Amino acid sequence: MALPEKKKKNIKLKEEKKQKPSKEIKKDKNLKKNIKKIKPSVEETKVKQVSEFEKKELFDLNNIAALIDKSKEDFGETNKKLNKISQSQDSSMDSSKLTLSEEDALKAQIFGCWSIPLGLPYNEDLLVRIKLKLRPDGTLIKTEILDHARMNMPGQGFFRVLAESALRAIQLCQPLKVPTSGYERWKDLQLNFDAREMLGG
Amino acid sequence: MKIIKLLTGICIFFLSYTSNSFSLIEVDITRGNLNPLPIAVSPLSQNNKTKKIFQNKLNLDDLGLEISKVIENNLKQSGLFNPLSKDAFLQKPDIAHLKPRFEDWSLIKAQALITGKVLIENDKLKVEFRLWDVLAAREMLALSFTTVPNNWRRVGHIITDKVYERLTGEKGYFDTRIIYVSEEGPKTQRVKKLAIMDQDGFNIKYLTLGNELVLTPRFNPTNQMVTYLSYFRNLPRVYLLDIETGIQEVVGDFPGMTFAPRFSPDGKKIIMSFAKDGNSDIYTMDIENRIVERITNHPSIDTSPSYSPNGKHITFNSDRSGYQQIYVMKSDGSNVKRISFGKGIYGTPVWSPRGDLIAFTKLHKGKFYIGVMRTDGKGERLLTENFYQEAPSWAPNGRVIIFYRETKTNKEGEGFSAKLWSIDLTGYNERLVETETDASDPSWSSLLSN
Repeated sequence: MALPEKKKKNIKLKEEKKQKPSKEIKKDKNLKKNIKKIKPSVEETKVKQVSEFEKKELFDLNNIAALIDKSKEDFGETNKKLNKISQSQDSSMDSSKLTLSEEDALKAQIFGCWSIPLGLPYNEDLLVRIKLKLRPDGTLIKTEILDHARMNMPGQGFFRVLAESALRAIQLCQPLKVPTSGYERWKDLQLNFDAREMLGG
Repeated sequence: MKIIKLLTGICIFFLSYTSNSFSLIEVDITRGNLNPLPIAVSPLSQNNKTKKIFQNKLNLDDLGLEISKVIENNLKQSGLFNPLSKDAFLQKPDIAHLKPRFEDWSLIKAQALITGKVLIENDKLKVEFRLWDVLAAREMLALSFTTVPNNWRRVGHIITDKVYERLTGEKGYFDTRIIYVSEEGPKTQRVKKLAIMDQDGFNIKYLTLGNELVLTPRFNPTNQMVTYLSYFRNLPRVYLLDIETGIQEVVGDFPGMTFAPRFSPDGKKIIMSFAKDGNSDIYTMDIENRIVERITNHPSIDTSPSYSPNGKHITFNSDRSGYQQIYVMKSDGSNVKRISFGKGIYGTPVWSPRGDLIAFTKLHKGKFYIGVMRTDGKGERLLTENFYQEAPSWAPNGRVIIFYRETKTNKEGEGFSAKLWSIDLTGYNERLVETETDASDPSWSSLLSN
């Protein structure tokens, strides 16, 4: 299709020149040039490195002895209690699971503590598995994200966000509502945080 | 040696026996709360000298506090965060920025904390900020920005973008602008001007005087140009406006009316409708060499074209099936497929910047809906319904949609008001976007600091 010359007309802007968006945009360019990721000062870098890259050691060596002692006591108590359980009850008990009521209590507690990041897309692989090492009173000794390598992988931003939210939930909830007995059974626990159902997937 | 081997064997046997006696218990956590994340935004600290300099330069009593309010407002509007009241903060901003006392912040139920510092360096504004995970007691992010002091609000928006991205995993949309049609006066004598503002409603500027009717402004990908509909020799025509120079021009020389313009994702073409003798089809025009290309050729009304982000497809609405529905085709006009099959009529389809969804307006039984569907037409979700609303436009992260809604101004159904509203993909976070005047036809820019 043949085209005519450009038909142009200037429009007067209502604003004064200094308020013209053009100037504003120029400023934007200026800002674009000036705003940059500036490395924090040496002191800041230190803080950053300590906080971001140093793996926090949650296993307190000073507490291990006390922990072992306490666990022995608890285990002893548990053994005593278990000895009292009748034969029929004993056979129905699966040592690899929590009872339904125990599991429900723990789930209900964590449901309340877990703020699911609402921005997550529901079609992503939104499952984070976290292994916990617990004290008999339900406080944390150690947490470990089982797919930790994904945390720093490019394109895995959503996994990282979900994992961090799960860790916050565990921290917020502790001491966890664990059974009063059978410490050996649940001292290591794995929580599988799955946001797909909540986010509509 | 044998004894050592024997002992090692016994140890291994013992350890494996004890470790296997209880297998690892797994508990599935499939529910949580959907409450916005409690976050504390501490006022950005500054020393007295800096404070006085900015008081003189910007006429602001406390720049650090003002920047923190910009961040706080952005986070609140997103619906994903719950900024906590500053009255509850126990730690002073300067000390908190250095090393937060996490117990104090967890005491007020904060799960994340933003601290910062405002400085002046060579007459420039320098802002440092840090994002902290309160429960894990660690820093998540630390950045600083330098700019001219007048850009302090933009610094607040950029900080929000960084925080949003770190905490949600997706890009923010706060350092952006919205272009829209400002409306004043009675409905029969409406004065309409092009207006541009920051996404939070500040820094409004008017780009036209209101002498001519203007409609459907759209940004180009670099946010420097705008295409829109205005009148030329009493005919509706597509215009191009350079925001920097203020020069506007008619796009092409079509022997009829042109409307519903939009830029291609590379910014090189404008796609629009051209109507003649009661038929309208979709055309593109190359901005540089002015070559016009006809994309659809059908005796029906084809309009509201919108490119997919990769430029390979176009969605548009057409009444070729008898009543208005949404279609998708290849960018050369081939392989046209209808994708909307629900009850009612569908229009103004807009492809999401993520590429996964198409937003639309739907009219059914006298009510208007803003909704989204996948690009194959499946998974239709209606996000909001009202008496009259239309013209969805996506935020650059593809999570929030802005549109306009007309309402009656009193219970008797008299009067009339048009306002901008935003809603996110959950359909729950619906918010009024404040404007000085009535407003319609919003279009969201891409991120300015990209």
